[in-house]
Amino acid sequence: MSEIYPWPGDYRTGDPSSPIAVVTLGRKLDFDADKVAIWGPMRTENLGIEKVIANVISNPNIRFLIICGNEIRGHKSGRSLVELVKNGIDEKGKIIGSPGAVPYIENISEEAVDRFREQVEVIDLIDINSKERVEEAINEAREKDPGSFGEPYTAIKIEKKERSKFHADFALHSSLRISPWGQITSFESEVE
Amino acid sequence: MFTYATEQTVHDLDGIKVGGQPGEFPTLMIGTIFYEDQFEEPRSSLDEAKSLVKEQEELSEKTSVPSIVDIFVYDKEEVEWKIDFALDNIDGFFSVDVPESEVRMRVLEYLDEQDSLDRVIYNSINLGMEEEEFELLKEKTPSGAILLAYNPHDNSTHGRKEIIKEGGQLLEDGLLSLSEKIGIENILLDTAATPFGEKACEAVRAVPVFKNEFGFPVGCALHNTIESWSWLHSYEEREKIFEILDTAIDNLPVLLGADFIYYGPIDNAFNSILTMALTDKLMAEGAQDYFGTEISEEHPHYKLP
Repeated sequence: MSEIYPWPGDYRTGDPSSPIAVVTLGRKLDFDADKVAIWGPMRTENLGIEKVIANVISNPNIRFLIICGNEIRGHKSGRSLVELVKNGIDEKGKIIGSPGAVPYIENISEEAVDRFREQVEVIDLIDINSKERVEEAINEAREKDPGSFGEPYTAIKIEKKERSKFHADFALHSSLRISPWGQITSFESEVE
Repeated sequence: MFTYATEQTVHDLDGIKVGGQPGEFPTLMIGTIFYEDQFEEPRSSLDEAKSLVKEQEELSEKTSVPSIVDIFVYDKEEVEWKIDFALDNIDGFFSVDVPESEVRMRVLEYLDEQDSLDRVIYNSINLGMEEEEFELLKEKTPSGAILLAYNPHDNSTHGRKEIIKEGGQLLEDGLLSLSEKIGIENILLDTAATPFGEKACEAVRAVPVFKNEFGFPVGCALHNTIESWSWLHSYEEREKIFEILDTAIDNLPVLLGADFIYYGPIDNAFNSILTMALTDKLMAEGAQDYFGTEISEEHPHYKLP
């Protein structure tokens, strides 16, 4: 986690004034830190995409999102990210048109998703592993930099707290009562 | 450590008993094979794959900790040769682990063609199940299924339980009810491993909650939590310590009564199965001494005196 990028993850950072972010999917690639703001792999079509959204919109200078590297088999997280920018999410948080296994955006607000879709243009290089080809795309995009999107947007993770009122006699979880003899039974609790 | 007041279902998977009270039966260990990058050329590595399957079997015989193989399938093109590998090299039950709904449907069709649905654990019935898959499952029903409690809307224990019970506001029906409508005989509940920072520990906490609430065998695949650990990706000796971490984390839910563990990949059978024998032995002795739990005949408690 850095000052600019609030959500922790497996990423590296470069010049924050660069308009480029690169998602390398299943590949580990390294880039010139003077040319790219943030880069790293992304494996999952739900939590992984949420981290990318949060860390991109926190830096308004990022205007291009290059997606490259081998698609994550099974998850289809790269294609899901492309579809997210193209179509957004439905009322249940599902990425419209995603071919991924469980493509839900749930820990980040719809407003943050909309901001992400407006802020970045996707450059689709899925299944391209040539660093030279990606660097070419980075240089081309830098030439077209439209400038900052405006203010940084700090995406707050939506926390669903599980709080229960209980009296005593619980351990591990508020729905379980463990007797002095170690037998587990239900504890009728009032969930807020 | 504990016993449950709720009646605990025990499944019989062709002689392998899974479920019951903590300490009653040894933990079912499920080792995954054909993960991406496990073999450089998977189709040319079948001898190596066979020897890994054999090693897991032998370790189970030595320890009385039962095991089955989990076949990972990514694409439709892989379905036939991977299922053929399982049918040719595995006696009894095996699990088929498939992330994509479309590929899962092809797996069902092929298993049906091979008349082998009765020896399969379908991994998994989850939030991503489409209507078409549900209908196909009713026609071509595997004997067993993992019900994955992953709930992106709420990954607390409560949220995970809701996916199983009522659909968690994302499905119209809970996965348990859907599985019963399909006619799954051997229902196994997976508490759904999540990464650190995403309530990873709730996959462990949910074990006793699920056991108490549903009474079906419960387990999880916590090696997924390790695989997504950011720190580990940058650690220079990742490969060296991964197996140690997998072995360590797999034992934790068993202390709370977990009945099965997906570990992996299957290369880690030696560490995982032997360590689980130790944990099972400890749990059984404690359950017998304290609660009078009857330990099953085939158990490390007797096999490894």
